[in-house]
Amino acid sequence: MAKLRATIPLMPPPLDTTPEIEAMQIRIFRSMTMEQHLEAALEISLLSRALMKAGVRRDHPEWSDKEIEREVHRLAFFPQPLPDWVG
Amino acid sequence: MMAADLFRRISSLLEQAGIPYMLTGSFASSVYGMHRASPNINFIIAAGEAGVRCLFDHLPQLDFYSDLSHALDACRHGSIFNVVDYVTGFKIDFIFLKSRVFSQKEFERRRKAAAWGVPLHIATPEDVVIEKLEWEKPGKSSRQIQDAAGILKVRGAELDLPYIEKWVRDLGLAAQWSQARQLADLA
Repeated sequence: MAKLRATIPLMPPPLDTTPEIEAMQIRIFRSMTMEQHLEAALEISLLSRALMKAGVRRDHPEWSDKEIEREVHRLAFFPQPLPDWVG
Repeated sequence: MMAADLFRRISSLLEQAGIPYMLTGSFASSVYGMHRASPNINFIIAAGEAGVRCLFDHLPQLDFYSDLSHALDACRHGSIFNVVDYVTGFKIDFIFLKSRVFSQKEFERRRKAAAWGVPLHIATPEDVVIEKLEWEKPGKSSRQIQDAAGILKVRGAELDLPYIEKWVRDLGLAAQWSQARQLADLA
């Protein structure tokens, strides 16, 4: 086994973003206004929550919208069960 | 334009209450670096009990969940209190300004910008990097380091690196700084 390992050349880790694409992305980020940055961050945060909600709905198809919303809030904010004010 | 509405409402609240503040955390790092999702919007505020009471006087109870006694308690302890926006579900963290030298310095350096026609004070990119390095906990997720590295990548040459390095030394953040630089291909 040790011999086999020694014969395998070290491969660079796979890149999910090429340097060219990353440079392009950085140029785009640098050209954006503060409003655009805040809008983008808020949009992806809302998208992330929508995905979380879809996951909770898939795992608990019997739950009501209110129960699903409550679980999404719990997952996002609280390690403990939510206080009564949310329900 | 949900972001416009939310930031307008928060900025107006703080301005009306006369509370000096700055946007920090992941939304500030999204402004300077790579965008990322977060359920929280963080503001550092310089307020005493009178300021907190004034903020709550202006806080529309139909739009936000809030708890004055919790906020006053956090004020006395110089910690943090939360407000939840019913419209978007975002949690707004109000963090009381600390008296330590770095906290005072970063607050003094905050930038007054404008977003959607309203003023919005925001921490400088250098100070957001330093905060991110401080928030990184050994053995935990590297999200904070990724945020810091994102700012280094996007803002590279604009950043005052000697300023960051001074605070990295003073706050004992060499290991985190090295990680962030490596991730940003600056090491």
